[in-house]
Amino acid sequence: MSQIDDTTLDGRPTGRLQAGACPFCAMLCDDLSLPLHKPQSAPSGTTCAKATDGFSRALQAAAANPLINGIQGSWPQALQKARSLLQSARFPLFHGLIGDLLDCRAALRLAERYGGVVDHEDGDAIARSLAVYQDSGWITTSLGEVRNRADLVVIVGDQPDAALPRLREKLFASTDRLHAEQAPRLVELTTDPLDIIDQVRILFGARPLPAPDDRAVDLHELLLHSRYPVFLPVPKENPYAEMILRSTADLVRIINETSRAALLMLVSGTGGATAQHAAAWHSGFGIRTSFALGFPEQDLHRYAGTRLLQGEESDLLVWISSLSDQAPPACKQPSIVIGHPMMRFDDRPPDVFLPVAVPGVHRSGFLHRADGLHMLPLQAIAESDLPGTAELAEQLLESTTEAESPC
Amino acid sequence: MLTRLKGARVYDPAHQVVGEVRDVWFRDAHICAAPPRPSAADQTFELEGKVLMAGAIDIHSHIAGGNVNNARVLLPEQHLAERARYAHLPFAGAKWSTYDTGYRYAEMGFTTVVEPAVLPINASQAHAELANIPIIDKAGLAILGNDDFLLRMLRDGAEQQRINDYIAWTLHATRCLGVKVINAGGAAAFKFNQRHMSLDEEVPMYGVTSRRILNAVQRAVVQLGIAHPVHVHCNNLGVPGNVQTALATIEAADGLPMHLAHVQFYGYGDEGPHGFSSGARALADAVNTNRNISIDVGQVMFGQTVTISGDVLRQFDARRIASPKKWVVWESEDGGGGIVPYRYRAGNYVNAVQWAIGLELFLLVDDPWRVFFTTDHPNGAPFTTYPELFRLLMDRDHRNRWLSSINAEAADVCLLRHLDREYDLNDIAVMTRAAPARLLGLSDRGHLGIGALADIAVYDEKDDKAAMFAHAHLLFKDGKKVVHQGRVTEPVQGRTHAVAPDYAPNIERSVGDYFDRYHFMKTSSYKLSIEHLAETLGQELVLH
Repeated sequence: MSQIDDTTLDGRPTGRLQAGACPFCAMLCDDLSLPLHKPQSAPSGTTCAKATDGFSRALQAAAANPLINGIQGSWPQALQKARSLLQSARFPLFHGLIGDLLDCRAALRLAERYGGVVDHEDGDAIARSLAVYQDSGWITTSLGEVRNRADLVVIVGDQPDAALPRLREKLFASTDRLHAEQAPRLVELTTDPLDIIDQVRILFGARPLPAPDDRAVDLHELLLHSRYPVFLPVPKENPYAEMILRSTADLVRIINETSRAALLMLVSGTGGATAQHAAAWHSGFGIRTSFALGFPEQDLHRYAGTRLLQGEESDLLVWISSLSDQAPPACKQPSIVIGHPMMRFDDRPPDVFLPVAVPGVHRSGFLHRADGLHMLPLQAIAESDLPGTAELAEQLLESTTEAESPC
Repeated sequence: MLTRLKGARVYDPAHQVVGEVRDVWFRDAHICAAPPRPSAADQTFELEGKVLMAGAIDIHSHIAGGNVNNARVLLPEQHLAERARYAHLPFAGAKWSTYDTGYRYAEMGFTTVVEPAVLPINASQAHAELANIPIIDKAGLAILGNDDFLLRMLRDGAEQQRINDYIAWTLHATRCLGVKVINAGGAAAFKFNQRHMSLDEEVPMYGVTSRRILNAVQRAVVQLGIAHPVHVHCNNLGVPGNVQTALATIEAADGLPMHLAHVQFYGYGDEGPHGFSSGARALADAVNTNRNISIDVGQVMFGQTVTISGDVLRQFDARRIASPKKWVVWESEDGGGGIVPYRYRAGNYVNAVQWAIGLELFLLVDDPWRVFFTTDHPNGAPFTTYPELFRLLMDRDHRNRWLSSINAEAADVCLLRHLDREYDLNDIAVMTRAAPARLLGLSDRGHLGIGALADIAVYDEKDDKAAMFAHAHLLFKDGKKVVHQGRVTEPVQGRTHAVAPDYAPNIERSVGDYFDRYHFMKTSSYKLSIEHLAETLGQELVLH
């Protein structure tokens, strides 16, 4: 549970609440604290907007009521409506999964029971990585290894900062490193990353390259003199994203024939690593897996959530988002939203909105950090009557039609 | 509920019961004495002609954790599903899932399985996966010996007591039952671009040898009073001639308890035209002589599988033989590892010798209490091949038929063709029930004494021992019937087991400072709490 750093004075709490791990991005920073007298205000120890917004918005919403077609309803009514939608759906899509392990486990059980598909909001990026991984494998390292050992970090593609605001601070600003005297040198390949990486591969292979780009020559030279270069592919917005990753993975393999190098593969979407890992041990595969046939079947393209919605192959959207109050994407299908209690619906409200506890704020949980290596425990830091997704799923899995309360 | 299991042939080696026809009684979850009047039974199972043993225990099977899960994802083509095996059980169509792991072990009569390679930084995921394995009880072994904190202590000449404190703290943090050492110092050396590690080689920067690391961890396990001896994956796994490493490691144990895992993989000589031969005789002799040593075999069975290991040196080296041609190497704060798919072929000389070495070790080690059935799942073969392995050891004719169909040169040179020994049902009961419970320090199972858990397997007696052990006629877990006629009937939830040895509190401050300086998290985000595991995963943790 939460810890109180300072004592209270004059009966008035002036101490700070240790926030536990911040679940609002995949960095999962656990060095924040909240003012005890007004925890809704900004956490200290950071200027991270994701942490500030995440904690303050979640802490403003200790309770919320379900909505049926945008109108407040009782829990039994809302659960009955959700159950009826699930029972009549032919091919439901369980999407979003912007939550923790408990949310994902619930989504997977529901998807299996109702013969649906699971995908994550960040599924395009996860599927791209999976395609490369399943074709060739790769050599990877962890966040801690980069900080403690890397002497060169090459960002390939886009900037990672929007998704992981404190990544640079954690990798580069620390003065304590186990086996490196100073912070790693940083190279950012944001333009023509595919060309540059391909050319560096050719240079490593000592194959002829008539007119190499200067940047490729420089990078090749740097790599030759690095003990432990690490490549951070962030190819989210690049049309050649998959090729960039393939090429970079191959370059890392080439370097390892004589020296060391690694990829730092970060799943930057909130809950993305947990969704993929949990789906893998439940189904054997991961996200974009369908249970419609009574057994799991993965297809990284066919079972993409956006495609299933737009092509109207799915006839029900179940959007699960306990960590973000962003409304789900608009769709023509009926929808059930199991979501953050502060979620608001401006246009078409979902058929059913079931507000749930925010993991790491209202309830305990587990969430993987971006490199997928460690799953951090999340602590409840505030009292709340909100149910967890798992409790709702238990009721949605029951065949009974009797009214019940989730709390 | 009082249950009578009536008239089966009972094998309970812990109580010297060898195939006697008798009744076994249990009340609720525990075995009890027969009541004065048999009519007191609430239910009776008529088991004439059946064989009854305690539930089986697997001491070394990679069933959970990031390395296993990443292997699943790497090889979707190896476990494509085509049907739901059980219509009403969760995820019963998911072939290589945590759920299927529980169902398949239960079908064979297993009730307890140990995941032998829990990387501390990945322990929470390992526990989450274990919690999603139905029916069986589980435990993990925490990997130590490549972590910077321990190597620094050794470099700086820390006292053994301090090392003991750190290892005890790690067991609390990871909620594991024992300690595993994988190629001590090897993964740390790999981080300095060293590509090999032998017992007396030093880890760069630390100046400590693999032997020194192993010795320190072994002593800690002994001094902390942890029941399960240090569980060792030696140096030079898979390398021809590595039987010398295994022999040197046995000597280095210095008479103290040590368990050598999957020894088939270091039972290799380097003789003959191919520079690869069986070292089983020398290794078995050493095991027979050194009664402080226990082993599991890591039997190779022919077919497609995937190797999953924390031995990053070995896995990186094995990339050249990956089949299909894809492989993974990864590194982490406290170690590393790799995933390399592989197909063992009966017609391949090396694979056939590996197969023979495993069987030779089983047949040459004379004390069934110190040799254990493993395939190092999935490294030598999937655990589902155990029944066929039992048959190979129990049926000499069956073994000889196989010998005539494997690579002829391998069959000619190996010792196996000259070994006539056949295991009997009592050997199987010792090696899969009584001995593993004793080795793990789990006194409430592996036997049928009064007060023991009612984890009980009943088999149809058949000449074909593979068929007999593939599907239990009945399996009771904590007294509940979970398998009937080889099919899972009730996916109960098992427990997870761990130890919690005492440590001096000041180690916590040292580790905390270290985490604050070098890790991406505080120890509070690393150490697993029993209450949190129960609250989030619904996992009941039993401390021993």
